[in-house]
Amino acid sequence: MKKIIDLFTPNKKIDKSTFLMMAVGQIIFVLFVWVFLAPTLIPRPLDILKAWGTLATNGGLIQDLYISLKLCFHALLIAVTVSVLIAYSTLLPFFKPMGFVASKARFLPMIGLSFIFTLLSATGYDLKIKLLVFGMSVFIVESMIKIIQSVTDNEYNHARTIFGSEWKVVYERVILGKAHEMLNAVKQNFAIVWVMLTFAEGLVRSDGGVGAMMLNENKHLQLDSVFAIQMTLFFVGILIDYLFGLLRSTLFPYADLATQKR
Amino acid sequence: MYAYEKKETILKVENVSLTLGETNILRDINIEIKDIVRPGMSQGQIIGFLGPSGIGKTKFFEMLSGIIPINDKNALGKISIGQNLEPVKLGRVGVIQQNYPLFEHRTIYSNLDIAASIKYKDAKERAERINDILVRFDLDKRKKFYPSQLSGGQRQRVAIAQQILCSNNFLLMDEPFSGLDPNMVKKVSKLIIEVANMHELNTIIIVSHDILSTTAIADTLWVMGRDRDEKGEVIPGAKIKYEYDLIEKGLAWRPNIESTHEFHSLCDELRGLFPNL
Repeated sequence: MKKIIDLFTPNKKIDKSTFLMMAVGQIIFVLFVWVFLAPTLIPRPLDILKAWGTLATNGGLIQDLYISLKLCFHALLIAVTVSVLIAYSTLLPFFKPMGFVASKARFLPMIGLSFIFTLLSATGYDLKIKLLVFGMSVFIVESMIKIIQSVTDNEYNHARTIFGSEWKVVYERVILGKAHEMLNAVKQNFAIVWVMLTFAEGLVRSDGGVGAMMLNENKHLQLDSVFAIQMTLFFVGILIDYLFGLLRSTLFPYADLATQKR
Repeated sequence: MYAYEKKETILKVENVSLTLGETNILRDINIEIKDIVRPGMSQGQIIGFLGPSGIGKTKFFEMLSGIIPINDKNALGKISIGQNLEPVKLGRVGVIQQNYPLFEHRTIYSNLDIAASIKYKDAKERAERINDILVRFDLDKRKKFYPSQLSGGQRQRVAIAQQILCSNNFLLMDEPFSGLDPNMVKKVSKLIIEVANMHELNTIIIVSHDILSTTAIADTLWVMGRDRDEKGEVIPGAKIKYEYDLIEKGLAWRPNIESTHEFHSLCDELRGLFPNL
């Protein structure tokens, strides 16, 4: 009884075995609802698994996933480079307005922009890259600018009393000191590009990719296949998120020490 | 009484004033610190800097350290330090802030190394200095740790060590006794005295609200406050209103000074000043 009360007590620490039991219980509950109580229209887990098998062996899911991942990481690389440059440049007063405008561009609807980007792109791939880079950069820039602004006056003054030069202060306090948070911003915003992928690939289906594949299956009302692709995107997304976390803790071992202590 | 001599001036503040926006923060500050020499020993200087909250002590600290430079616009006057009384420059005066900011992305050794690299270009000499200070400050077993893995007391020692390695004899400490239990206050007081006496010219200025702890280790006290006009209204702009030479009063460097009657009388006198500052 006490263990059950603990589960509903704020900030209560619970042991690993209780946590594991609770998590397994919740998964079983979700599966139960899905299998027995969900509307008949929703494909059941076994149907999805079968569809996944067919897509993976004969449907070209693996090849399309590779195409999507390639596109995604290409866009991510450009978006991170652009975002880092814009965010760091806001430390110089001259570039502050540019950073402000770039971060506010996230309120622009993508549908309208896709027409402009189509006119500016030579190939379908080019168009997808432009859409993804834009869609991701405006969010990453916002996060990165916030990280840069989180350096306190005390922290700046501490570095100033050591280095004297403001360039060195910025290098130590912002570029080196906040690198782990910058990577975290990329990790958190990666989900945006992952979600946008289907939208971008849907615009240019000739290149393939899981987004195009999903829209094609959707068109033919193959819901079990659509769910299979969704699940693939979901689990690959989680895997990439985990890998980002691993990269962060390897490159910046100090990053989570303070929270680990608590 | 101890034998001592006050030799050359090592810090001189002349007609310093500061205005931020329309507000006059500091005005007409004139003070100086002389090198105190005691025969047969290295004697540094410890100045206790007292005053009510929000009076402008931190701003004065920022001017003393060069964070707010004298600019002939809103920050006026002259601040000179060292034996040659050169104008103060950013990086020459160490500042130890209340929450002890360090470089969280660097290990303790690396925190000290980056600070020492400003003054000691030769890698071997730098390593020797760092290792020496790590041992002195009982941090040698923590050198591979990151700042977030340290206790508050250890962070404070790293912050002091860092500033000693990169600054030139002058250390400004903001509230070093804040939030410490009596045992820790004793330890920190001992550490401040040790740091001050590490070099003849070492000068530590302590901003604190803890009158007892500050007076117990200082040789000089500055009390910051604002003047009042005939109607009793506060005249904007704080200045050093009172200066106490504790050596002359026979209240400096004495072991167990806290148990003497004169010490407590002085602390009472200081407390009595606060309501009118």
